Amino acid sequence: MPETSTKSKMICPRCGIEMNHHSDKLVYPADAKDIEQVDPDLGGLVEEFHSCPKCGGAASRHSWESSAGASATPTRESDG
Amino acid sequence: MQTSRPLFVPVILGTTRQGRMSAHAAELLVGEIGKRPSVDTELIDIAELPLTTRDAGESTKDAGFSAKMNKADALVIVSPEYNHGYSGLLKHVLDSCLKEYIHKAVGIVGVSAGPFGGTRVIQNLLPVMRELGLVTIFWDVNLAKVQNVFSADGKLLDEAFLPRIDKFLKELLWMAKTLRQGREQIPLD
Repeated sequence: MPETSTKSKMICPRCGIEMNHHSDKLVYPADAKDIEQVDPDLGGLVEEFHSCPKCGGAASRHSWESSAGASATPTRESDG
Repeated sequence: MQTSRPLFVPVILGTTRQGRMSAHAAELLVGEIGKRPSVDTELIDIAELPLTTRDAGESTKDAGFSAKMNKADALVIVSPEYNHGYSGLLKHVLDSCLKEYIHKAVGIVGVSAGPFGGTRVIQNLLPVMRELGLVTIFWDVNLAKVQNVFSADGKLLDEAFLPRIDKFLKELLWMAKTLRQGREQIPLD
């Protein structure tokens, strides 16, 4: 089943439109609170990367933050 | 695809050493990129970035550098070869961002006083680029014996480098356009 069917879209804070989720990266947690979120199959945390189709701005969030019902506001929004 | 938005391809000068000849190389690349239609560029001198060295990684992120990396569609990194490697401060600066780089193109210009034109530093940078999510191209620019390539005031003395820079930039810009389309339009799933 495609994961996108249960995930909320990130919204570009500048343009207010849906961003495109184009990449996942496995990262390794340093904080104790993040260790609880480690995917046991992958051995790390999955960080998602999104880009805005209008302005090109980038944003990211951890994959568990993208489940249905989660805020669509980027947790680590574009700095530019 | 947003065709009206010009590509942004900044040039990172990856050394803080006094008297660095790499500055001439970086200025040359800025000039050559600036000749291309619909491409914006600027020089980013890591010596001018206010990053602390009392921490490392994304916690040291500088808002200005982050914004430029976020806006960038591709990067040119000009790196001298110091003891076969890259400047520690270049790595420190690069490590301050991540999401800003993902699925963006990068080309590397190697600079050396010796005869190998930074080939070893380029090879050492490739795995770093990969882990940062940048997409490397297969053209490099190698400026060997750089003291003979530029005059003291930065004038290019050997125009034979220009055709190679042209090939390098054509490949980089193609990759930049392609990856922009991918980032903004093609979903992972």
